[in-house]
Amino acid sequence: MQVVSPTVEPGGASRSRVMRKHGIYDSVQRLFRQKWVAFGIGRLVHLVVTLLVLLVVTFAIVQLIPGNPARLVLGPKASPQAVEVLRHKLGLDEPLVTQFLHYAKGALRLRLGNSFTTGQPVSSILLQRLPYTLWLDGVALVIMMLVGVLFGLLAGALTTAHRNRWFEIVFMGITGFGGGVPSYVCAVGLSFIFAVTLRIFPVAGMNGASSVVLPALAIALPLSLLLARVVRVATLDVLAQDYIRTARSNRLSIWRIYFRYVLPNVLNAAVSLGGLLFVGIIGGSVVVENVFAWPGLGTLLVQSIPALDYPVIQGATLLLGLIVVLLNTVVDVVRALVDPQAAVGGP
Amino acid sequence: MKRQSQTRRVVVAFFRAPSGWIAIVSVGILVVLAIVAPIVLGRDANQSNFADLSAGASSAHLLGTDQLGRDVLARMLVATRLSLELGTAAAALAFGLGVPLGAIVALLGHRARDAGRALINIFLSFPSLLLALIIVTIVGIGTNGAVIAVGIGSAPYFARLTESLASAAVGREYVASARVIGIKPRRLVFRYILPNVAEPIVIMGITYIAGAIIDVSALSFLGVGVQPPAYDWGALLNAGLQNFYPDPAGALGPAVMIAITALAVNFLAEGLARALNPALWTAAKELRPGALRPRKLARQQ
Repeated sequence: MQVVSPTVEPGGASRSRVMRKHGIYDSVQRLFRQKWVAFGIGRLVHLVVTLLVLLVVTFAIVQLIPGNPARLVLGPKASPQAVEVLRHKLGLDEPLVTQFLHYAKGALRLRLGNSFTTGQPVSSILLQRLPYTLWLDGVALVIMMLVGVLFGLLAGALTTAHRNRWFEIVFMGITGFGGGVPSYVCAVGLSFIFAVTLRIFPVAGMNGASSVVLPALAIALPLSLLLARVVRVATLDVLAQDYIRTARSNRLSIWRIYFRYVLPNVLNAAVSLGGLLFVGIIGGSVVVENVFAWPGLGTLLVQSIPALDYPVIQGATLLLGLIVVLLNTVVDVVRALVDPQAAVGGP
Repeated sequence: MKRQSQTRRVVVAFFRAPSGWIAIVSVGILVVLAIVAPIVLGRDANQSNFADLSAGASSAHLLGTDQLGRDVLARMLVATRLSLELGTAAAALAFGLGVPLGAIVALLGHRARDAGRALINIFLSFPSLLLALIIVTIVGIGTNGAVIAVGIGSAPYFARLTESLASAAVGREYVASARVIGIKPRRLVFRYILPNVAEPIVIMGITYIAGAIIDVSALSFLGVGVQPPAYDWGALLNAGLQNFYPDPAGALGPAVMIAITALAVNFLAEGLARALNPALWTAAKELRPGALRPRKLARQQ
């Protein structure tokens, strides 16, 4: 690929000034495509800052709660001396910065303290719950992509050039209606239809592979309808392009046109929406897990809040936040690979 | 032709699409329910009928009764008031925190503005419900905690919208001249910038009431929001789910109410956005059958 000189494109002046200041970058720029390096460094900085914010926010939980955490552990009947001893043991009498560094170091080594209620190490509780959440979210992601992309593609194919107006109205109605329904309401509805009335799937709990279907559907369906809307618009755009007309006039089969020509271009739109959808999946799973008594991180977090089990609350939020951060980074990188123009700015 | 007043044209534009009517009627019904239901049904909703505990639907109790023999339908309707109140309060809090924050970030210097923007985006990259759960842990479980949590948790949305709109306005000449004549930053924000970018923010605020009702209900549903004896839809949903197998109506009722409210408020905001934006008036006309041909031609060219 051709290396574009930094002075040609807009904003090049300021960039070249930076380049001159840091001599190392100058050679890096000649060896690599410098925009990609800049992109990588930018993403890395963003990742580190986000993780830092996550650490600060979860650290703040224990600092900001009213009252003394040591008193909470021991209960109101404990003697002031015992409370003071535990306070010292938990490190709560040290300066804030020391406490934070201690917390951050512990988090990096997966040492997050022990649960106030069960006494187990938080990290082992989290590791035990994590696979369930990942399994549920993974299935939800697959369902969301399949339903969203295929439904959107179908709708785009049917309504191109303003054909089938009635279908467009029905489609907009369904997606507008379903996209606004929160995932836990969707969960209750699905549970009513498939678990209570038809008795196809279990109503709650985690026993066997079929348990994952309803919670995953509840998380995925509202999001997939949002995705379908975006995919439909993208499909309409692609179908109006000249290369599709050329492909049609060359009498390529309809499958080839849709899966080799339209689908890859439409996936762009899906990826650009990706971050929003991932956040929706994680946020949705926190609530939906509780509808179905799914033994994941969401139920763990929600059970720990009334129990005032702060180490577990910290750990669960930290882990859920970490998943969100990593997914967002993956989405950013994939988006940059799929559509360099938009993300990195030029080839 | 007689010239119509601006207000009249906005009203006409609002009611031109069927969604405008649906929105006004359904939001109207919900508001009337919120005012009337606790007065009329308040006693029924809290009266235990020990003769039929957890009973199914009957002529006396159209949606059955809960574990304490209270009428599910009455409780569902009475809960409308609390749910709407809490959602509106949380949306107002998010608005009140996020809008000034966004405006302040927009006014900052170059570097500080970038940092503020990045920070807002970081908070936006986490699910707002996760933030709300963290805040509810800090503030404490309960009605106030849920409202504060949802309000703070969604403030970044308002901050980002306000910041991006205000940043565009800050570059305009009238702000520059206001700065030159020595207007203080606070006056600059509230008298010069915000009034000029108010419309989309207010529309988002109204749209967000739906989101806030959903989020507060979610917290109540998770048991960290409204606590008994008070109840909103989320709390009713929680109670209903515990008895879901024999008596699904107890959970389905509140779920349907949450969904209807979300849709109604969305329709309302959509209608307002359409009515207040003259560029969309013609689009509404074009959607009528028979008016499609010019667009079709344009697409093929």
